Amino acid sequence: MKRMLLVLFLVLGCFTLFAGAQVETDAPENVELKFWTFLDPKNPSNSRAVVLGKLIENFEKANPGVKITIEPQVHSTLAQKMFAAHATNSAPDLFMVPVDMLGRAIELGVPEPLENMFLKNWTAEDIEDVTSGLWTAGTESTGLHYQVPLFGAVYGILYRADYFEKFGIEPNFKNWEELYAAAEKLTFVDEKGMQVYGLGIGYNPSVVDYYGALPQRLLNRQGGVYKEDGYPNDWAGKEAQEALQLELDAVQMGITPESAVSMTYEDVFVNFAAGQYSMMFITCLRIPQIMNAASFDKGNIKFMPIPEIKEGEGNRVFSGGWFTGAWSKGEHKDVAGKFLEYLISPEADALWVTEAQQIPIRKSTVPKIQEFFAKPENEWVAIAAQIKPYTYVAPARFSVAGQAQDWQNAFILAATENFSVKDALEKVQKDFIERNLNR
Amino acid sequence: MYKRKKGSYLPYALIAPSILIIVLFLVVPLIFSLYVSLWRSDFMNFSKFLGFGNYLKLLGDSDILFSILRTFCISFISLVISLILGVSLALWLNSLSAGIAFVIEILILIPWVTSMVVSTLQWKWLFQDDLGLINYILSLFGLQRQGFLSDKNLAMYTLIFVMTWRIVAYVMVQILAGLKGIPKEYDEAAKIDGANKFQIFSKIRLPLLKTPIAISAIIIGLSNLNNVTVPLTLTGGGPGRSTMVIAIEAYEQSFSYGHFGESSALSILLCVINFILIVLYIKAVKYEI
Repeated sequence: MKRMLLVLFLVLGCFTLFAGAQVETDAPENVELKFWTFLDPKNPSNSRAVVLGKLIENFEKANPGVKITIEPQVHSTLAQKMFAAHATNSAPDLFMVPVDMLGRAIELGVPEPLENMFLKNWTAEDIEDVTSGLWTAGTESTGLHYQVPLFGAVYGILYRADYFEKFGIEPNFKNWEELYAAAEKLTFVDEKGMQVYGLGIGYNPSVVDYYGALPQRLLNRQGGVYKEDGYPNDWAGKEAQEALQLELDAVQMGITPESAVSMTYEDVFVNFAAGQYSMMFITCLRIPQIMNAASFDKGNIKFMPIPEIKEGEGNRVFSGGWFTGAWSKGEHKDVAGKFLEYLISPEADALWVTEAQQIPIRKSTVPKIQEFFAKPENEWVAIAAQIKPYTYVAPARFSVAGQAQDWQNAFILAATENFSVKDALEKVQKDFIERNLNR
Repeated sequence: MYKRKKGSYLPYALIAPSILIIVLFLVVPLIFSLYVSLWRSDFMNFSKFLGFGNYLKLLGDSDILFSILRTFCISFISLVISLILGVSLALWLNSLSAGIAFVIEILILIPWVTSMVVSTLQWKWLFQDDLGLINYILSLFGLQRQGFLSDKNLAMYTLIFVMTWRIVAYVMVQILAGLKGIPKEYDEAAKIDGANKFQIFSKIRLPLLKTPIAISAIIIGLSNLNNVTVPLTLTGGGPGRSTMVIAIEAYEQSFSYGHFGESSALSILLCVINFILIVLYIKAVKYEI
C-alpha cells in the first residue's frame, strides 16, 4: 500500500511539474515573435538593419520574456512568400510588405488591423502626429489601418553637386525640358577618360521601381493611374505616349546609355557610386548605401525633387518602400502590436532618422532633431521629408501587381522589340489587365 | 554470397532516412505542386479548380512556347560546346605530366567551384557596355564597343558563354576520370596493330568513355535546363525577352505576379521534360545503373 501511495505521489508530483512547465511556456512573458524582413541586424553595413537590431534589443529589455527573432528574407520574394505562408498557416508574427503589395495583403487577410492591437488606445493627437499618405495607405475600403509605414520612400533625383558646379548648372529644375538640357551638358568624358552620363536609369525588369517619365505622367495627368474599378486609366493615351517617348529620347540624345535596357537599378546605383552618372532617379531609401559606396567625396551627393513633366500638371510621385504589419493569425498579436507601436514610437522614430537616415514618420520628430537636419550630409533627408506630402500610394482595394514592371517593359518593347510607342503601351496595359483583372 | 536473414529489417532501417528525406523534400513538394497547378492559386489562395486550364493557357501562350524553345536552344548549344571542350581538355590533361596536369586541373576547376551568383555577377561587370573590362580591351584595339548584355542579338550568346564556362570543368573531370580508368594496354595493343592517334581515340577511347560522357551530358543538360541563377543574374531574361528561359518564367509567375498555379504548371512541365530527357539519354547510351 505504502509503495502504491509513493508511486501515486510521484506521478502526481511529475504531473504538477509538467503542468507548471506548461503554465510557464504559455505565460505571455515568454513569447517568441518571428519577424520576416529583408533586413539582417547582423549586417553592420546596413544602417537600417543596425537600428532595427537596437530597437529589438531595447524592446526585449523592456519586456522580459519576449524574444524577437529576425528571419531575413530576400526582398524581391518576401511578399509572395508571406502570402503563401499565410495560406498554409505558417507565417511569422511580424512581416514587411512592399508598398504596392499592401492591397493584395489586405485582400488576402494577411495583416491584423492596428485598431485591434494598439491603435484603439491612441488619442486623436497621437494619430495626427503620424498621419500622412503612407500612414493611411490601405484604409480606403474598411477605414482600418493595417500597417506602420516602415520604410516609406519618396522618389527624387540624386545628383553630383561638383559636376553641377563645374558646368554652372542650378538644381531644382522646373520641368523635364530643363532636366534634359542639364543632362546633356552633364554628359561628358571626365579627366580619366571615363564616359559620364547625364541621367541614370535602369529598365531591366528583374528590379522594378517607379522611375522615369511614364509613371509620373500617368500619375499627374488628368484622371490618374486607375479607373474606379481598378482598370488602367488609358495607359496608352496621348499623355502616356508622350511620356514614353520622353524616356526613349533620353537614350537617343545620349544622356542615358543604351545599356539602360539591360541594367537593373542595382547596376545604376553601383555605376553612380563609381562616378559614371551626373544624375540618377532614386528612391531615398537607397541614398545612405550609395553615399557609403561612393568612390568620390560623398559631400558632393545631393538630392532634389523630380520636376513636373508639364508645368502646372503637378509633381506627385509614387511612394516606394515598405510597410510593416502583424500577421492576422499570429498567436501573440497583442505583443506583436506592442512591438509595432514601439517601432514608430517617438524614441524609435528619432533613431530611424538620425542613425538610419529615414524620413520621419512623426511630425513631432522634426523639431526635436534640428541639429541633425542642419548638417550638410543630412540635407537630403529634409528634402525627402518635403517631398513626402506629394507621394502617392496605389489603391489597396484592387491588385496592382506588376504595374511598375509593366511600365519598364513598355520602354523595353519600344527600345528593343520594334514596338511603336503606342503598341508597347497597349501591350503592357493588356498584360496588366490579364494579370490582375481578367482572371 | 551474402544472404539476407529472413525477417531482418536492418537494410530497410538503413535506407529509411534517405527515403524519408527524398519523400519529404522531393515527392511531397512535387505532388503539392501538381495539386497547385490544377487550381487558380494566386498567392496560394485556392480560388477556382481549373483542371488542366493552367497548362492549356501556358501552352497557348506564344511567349511561353518561345521561352521553352529558347531554353532548349541555349541548353543544347551550351551542352554541345561544353562536351567538346571538356573532352578536349581532358585528353590534353591526360597527356601531360602529373604535376602540370594537377595545376591546370585546379585552375580549370575554379569556375565550377565558384558560387554561381558571384561568378555570374563578375561576368556581368566584365561584359558591361561602358565600364566593362572586355569592352575596354576592345576599345584599346580600336574595335567598336559591343552590347554584350544590351544587344538582344548578342545577349543570348553571352548567356550561353557564361553557362558553358561554368560547366566545362565538370565535364573535364568526369571524362578525365574515365580516361584514367582505361587500361594502358589497350592503347599499346592498338599502336602495335598500327592504329594512329585518331583511330585510338575514336575506336578505343571514345566507346569506353561513353558512360562518363553520358553522365556528364545528363547532368549538365538538366542543370542548364533548370538553371535560373545564371540567366536571372546575368540578363534577367532581357533585353526584352531575348534571354527569357522557362525557369525565369516560372520564377516571375510566382514571385513577381503571385500566380502560383501557372508557376507550378510550368514547373511540372519542366519536370516532365526533364524526365523524358533522362529516359531518352539513358536509352540512347544504353547506360545501366
